[in-house]
Amino acid sequence: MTKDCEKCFSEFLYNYNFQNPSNNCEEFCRHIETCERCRFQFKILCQAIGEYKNQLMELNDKQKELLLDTLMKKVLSQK
Amino acid sequence: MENITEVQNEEVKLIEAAKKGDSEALRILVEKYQNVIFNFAFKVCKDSEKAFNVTQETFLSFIKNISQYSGKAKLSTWLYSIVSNHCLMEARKNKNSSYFSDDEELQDKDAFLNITFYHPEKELENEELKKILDEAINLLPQDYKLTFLLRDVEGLSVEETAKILNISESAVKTRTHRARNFLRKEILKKFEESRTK
Repeated sequence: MTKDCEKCFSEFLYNYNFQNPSNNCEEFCRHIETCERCRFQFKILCQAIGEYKNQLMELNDKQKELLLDTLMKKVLSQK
Repeated sequence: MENITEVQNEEVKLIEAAKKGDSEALRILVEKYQNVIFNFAFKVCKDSEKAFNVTQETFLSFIKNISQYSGKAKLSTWLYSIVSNHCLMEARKNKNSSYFSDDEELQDKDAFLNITFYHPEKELENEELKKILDEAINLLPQDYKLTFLLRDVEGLSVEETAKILNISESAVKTRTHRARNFLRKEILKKFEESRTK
């Protein structure tokens, strides 16, 4: 990766919106068309963030019960 | 499908009722947001027990301060703000070393120049990528982790993230940029290690 590539990628990362991928960096768009290395790095980063977003945690039923129980006791103690 | 405005109006009614001490309204609000908040806390704390404690503290703060909620920001924004503060407090209990200096003006342009990995012939499985990103995110200092998670994982705007973390929009942009660059470097490093195994 050349210094020009790096500068371009860095500027692109500053502006990119992963939620609404309307790429505002035209320079990077043009660059990525021809630079397989940058295209690959970008793809891996997007894929990793996408996978991470899919990793959902939820309270289990026991935790939910305990949470609500604690909160309701707190509410009642304030009345 | 329920209209978004109807859902928002319903929430406003519930908040008003909760402010007056209606415990049923409060229960509905907590049930609505408990998994969102726990999910976020878990991503920051990476520990189920800590995330549960942070979630509990978040909702206790929510109950304690609900009378001060003006409705200017979305309820979710307010809750993210509370949970972020509790996550930071939790992190301060076990303070880790920071990979970044406190200087916001750290020279980004020189920090990540030595990335030369490029091996499209062996792509990683999604599960492996998720694990790599998970490990890399854990290396971020808490304030950068919070910014990255709010912006790129929770999908909040720069403006919302700035309000939640009580920092300027330019600080949000700088932190997000540096976190992304750091993660990019870490992912590619792990990718390279995986390839040479």
